[in-house]
Amino acid sequence: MKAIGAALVVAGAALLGHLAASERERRVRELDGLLYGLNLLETEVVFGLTMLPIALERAAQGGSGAGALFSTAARELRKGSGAAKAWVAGIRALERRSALKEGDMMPLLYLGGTIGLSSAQDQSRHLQLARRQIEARLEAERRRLPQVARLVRALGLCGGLAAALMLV
Amino acid sequence: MSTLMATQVADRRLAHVLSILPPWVEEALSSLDPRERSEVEEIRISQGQPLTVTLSGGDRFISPKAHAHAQSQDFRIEKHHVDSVLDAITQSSVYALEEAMKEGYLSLPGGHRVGISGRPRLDRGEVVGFSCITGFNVRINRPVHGASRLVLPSLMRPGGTIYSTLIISPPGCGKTTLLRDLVRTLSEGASELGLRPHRIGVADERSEIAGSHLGVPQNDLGPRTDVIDACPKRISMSMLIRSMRPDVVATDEIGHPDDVRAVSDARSAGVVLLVTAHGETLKDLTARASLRPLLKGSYFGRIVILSRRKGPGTVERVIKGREEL
Repeated sequence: MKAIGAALVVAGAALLGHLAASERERRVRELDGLLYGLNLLETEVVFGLTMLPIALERAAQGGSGAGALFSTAARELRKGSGAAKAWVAGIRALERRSALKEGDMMPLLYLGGTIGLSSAQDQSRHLQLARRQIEARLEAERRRLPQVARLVRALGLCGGLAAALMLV
Repeated sequence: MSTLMATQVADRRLAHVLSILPPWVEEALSSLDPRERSEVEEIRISQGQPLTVTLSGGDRFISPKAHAHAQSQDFRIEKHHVDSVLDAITQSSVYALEEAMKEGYLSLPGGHRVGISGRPRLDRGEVVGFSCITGFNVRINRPVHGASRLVLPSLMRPGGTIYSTLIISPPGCGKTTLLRDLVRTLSEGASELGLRPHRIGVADERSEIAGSHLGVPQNDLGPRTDVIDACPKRISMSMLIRSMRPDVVATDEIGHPDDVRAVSDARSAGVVLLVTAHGETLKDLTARASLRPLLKGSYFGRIVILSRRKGPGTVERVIKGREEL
């Protein structure tokens, strides 16, 4: 009975470690998707001179993984909200279902003050700046990820073993 | 059209404009009574200034309800008000409309027009955009069907066609409204007047005649009318004549020497011209060196002078031009 309990504790802790590591991996995928989405948005805005609601819808349909940001912002714009308000609503929608951290959202929040409301050249500068900041965070996370994921998984397992030993 | 119907149409047009503008503007205009709403010609929104509506009887200062405790003239437009209007009229897409904004105005769906003021960004003497925008003048598009009916008989020549006509008036006296209705009537034809239908080419450099939004005419200009929108008259008039084979070419606000050259070329091509120019009298036009050749030459058979004496579109005089003499 004790052995079964200990095994369950070890498995549970290992699972928690695995989930924590997966969350870090998901953050990397989402940062990557966000970059792709911003890239699509920049193409529509700067080169296509597409009206913002349509540009956001196209970025949302691009399968970037950050679709919630763009689709919510587009929907809010269609409802008559201003660009800044619509963009912030998009960020909140993205936050609700993502592994991104608060710091990952900062470049997006800064973008909210300017999106749509300046020349194409200026839009390009702001979008590129946001992309560069996100890229930097993505690179840093990518570098750390293999070790951190291994560490978190190992910690989960070891924590589970330690707890099991104490229980036994 | 009955007064009631005209009021309803005017109110619908205003409601359409207000649906494009941010809600605080509609809130402010709700203080107007129905008669005043039907008379709104312009809404002026300029940072640091009161919110002003131009009615046919003159200007009036108004304020949103949130500021109702203060006198309307005490309410001042702030930067966030201006930003909200910019956001609304561009659908948050300033970058996409920059090219149009270089001209100092934007066309809205429905043919309404928004003049823009602020500080333009210049490059080699050319406006390339705005570094800051501080104000708007929203002009409600009100095509008046039948505006040309009174004057049309005096512009007609034998054979069911009309003389080349120059319409002169100061701004806001109904030049464009008259021109637009002339275009529509000529395009449709008017059998009761013995006027045959004409193919019309409209060189609409400032998108005022057709009120085009994203290139699509928003005003009814008749079934035989082709429009070239937002293109210099010199180019669009020659394009129309070469490619669309019009009987009549119409254009607004001539004044630049290039426009005069385009008019001269069009007359040489044998098309009838309908053009407008700013001025109070013929003398004003002859005083402008660029327009003098037009008046000296035999380009126009009729010159119509408008004023606001009995409201916009008051026909002061119809003068026989040299074309007929």
